[in-house]
Amino acid sequence: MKPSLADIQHAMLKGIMHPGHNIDPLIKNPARDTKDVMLGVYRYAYVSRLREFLANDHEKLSCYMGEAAFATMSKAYVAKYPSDQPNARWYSRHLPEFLAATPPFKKSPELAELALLERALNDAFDAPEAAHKTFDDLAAVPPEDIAQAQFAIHPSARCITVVTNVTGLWSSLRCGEQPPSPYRLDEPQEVLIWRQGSSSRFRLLGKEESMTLAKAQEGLPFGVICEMIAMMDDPDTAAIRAATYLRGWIEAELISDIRLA
Amino acid sequence: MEKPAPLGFGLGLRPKHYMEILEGNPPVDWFEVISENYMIPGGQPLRMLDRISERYPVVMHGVSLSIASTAPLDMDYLAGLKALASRCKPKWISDHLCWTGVHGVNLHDLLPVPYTEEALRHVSDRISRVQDYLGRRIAIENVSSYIEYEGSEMEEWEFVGELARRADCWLLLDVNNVFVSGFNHDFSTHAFIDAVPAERVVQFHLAGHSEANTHFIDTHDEPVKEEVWDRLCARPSPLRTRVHHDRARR
Ligand SMILES: [Fe+2]
Repeated sequence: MKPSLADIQHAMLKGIMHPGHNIDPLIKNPARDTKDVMLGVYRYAYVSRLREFLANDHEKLSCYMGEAAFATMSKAYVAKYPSDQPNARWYSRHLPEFLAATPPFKKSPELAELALLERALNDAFDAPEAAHKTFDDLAAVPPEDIAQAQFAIHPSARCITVVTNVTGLWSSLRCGEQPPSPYRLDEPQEVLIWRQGSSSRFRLLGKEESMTLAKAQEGLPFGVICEMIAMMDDPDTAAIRAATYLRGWIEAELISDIRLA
Repeated sequence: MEKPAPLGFGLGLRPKHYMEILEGNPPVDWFEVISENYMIPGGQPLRMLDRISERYPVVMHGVSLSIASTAPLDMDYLAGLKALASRCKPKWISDHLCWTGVHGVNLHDLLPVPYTEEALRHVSDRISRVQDYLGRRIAIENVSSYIEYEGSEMEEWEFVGELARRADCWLLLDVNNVFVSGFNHDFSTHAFIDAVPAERVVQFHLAGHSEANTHFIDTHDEPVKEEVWDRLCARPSPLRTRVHHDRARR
């Protein structure tokens, strides 16, 4: 009996993904070469295209690992994660967790963190649009209402926690310099990633600012946030510290709305 | 059946050209955008597309519709495609006569179908459903292929012509793909091009291919070959042609 269209597609899929799987009976004798050579075009394209997606999304990681090591790693990733998305844009999304969980890469935690940082920068690049508020908008809030104000944070903003000198590695790779040796930080570091204008950026956050930003993202009013800051350090300078953070966020185009409850 | 008006010579829109286009207003008649590259939440690519589509006609060209797949139609994908179309107002929307995956796996490749009555029924029915959903005709492009199926019952060009009639869709004729497949499967490219229903062709693709030892590979990144130009120029039809010689992300 003739195989159905569904049978043929099922067999072709297996034959392309698993080169050992024989699908020769489905294929006409080629005019120019063997079935193996002609099917090989699809088999080769499958792997090389997925590797190309990884390399496009992770330029710095590829540069840091070196071409050969990156190719070996990509091969393992491709074998573990077939693409399940119509859009290549999201193919590499499992890479940070893959590198953190898979030997020998997991022995070098900066690899997973470099992938995570690049991933976050890529996500910020095409995150949803939002307006950004200016100092004039802030000045328009009546002083008696400022404690009630809630600040919406730009949808591209995201914090990650790293335990290696990955931000230093990233920066030297960007400048085309020899990256420093990887090392573990004394304590975990928060990194803020966001989009300003059309570029993705990151910067390190202190503990207090990172907590403050998280609370603002949750929608807590500014007055409540100031009270929390007062408990974290010197209460006398709490209002100044809060105002400094807010100023930085406005400059960085991180505030997309100011709402008065 | 009224064909969209001819647009002239177009170019594939690539990120490295954004600024050149916006600053220089180059004399290009229209741009073709890879739909999937703009099916994203926001950011610079979409902002650029908004600005460019205000100044130039655009057409949307997709690689992931997977119109011939036996998997169910991906409604999320179609919703994204429709949203992008309402944003950039393309003159038409195209994708390929192929399947890209099945069973939840995407191979990110344009795989050929067997040229059978079963496939004709299946694909024409899916094109009709997609056209109903999008509220417009789509254009279907012939792909380059490296294998042919044992079960095929007709020639590729017979399949393409009959498909366009049954589904009532437009065609995008990729002349380079005809050359690649014609060489690989030893068929007459003239027979193919002459058999395609001209009244349904809204666009041509031209691009180079590389020559392996025994077969041609469509790389879309080589200059257009002389014989491709010759073939196209011999055809009396208003041209809506896009020359592409770089690779689409797919
Ligand atoms: Fe094409």
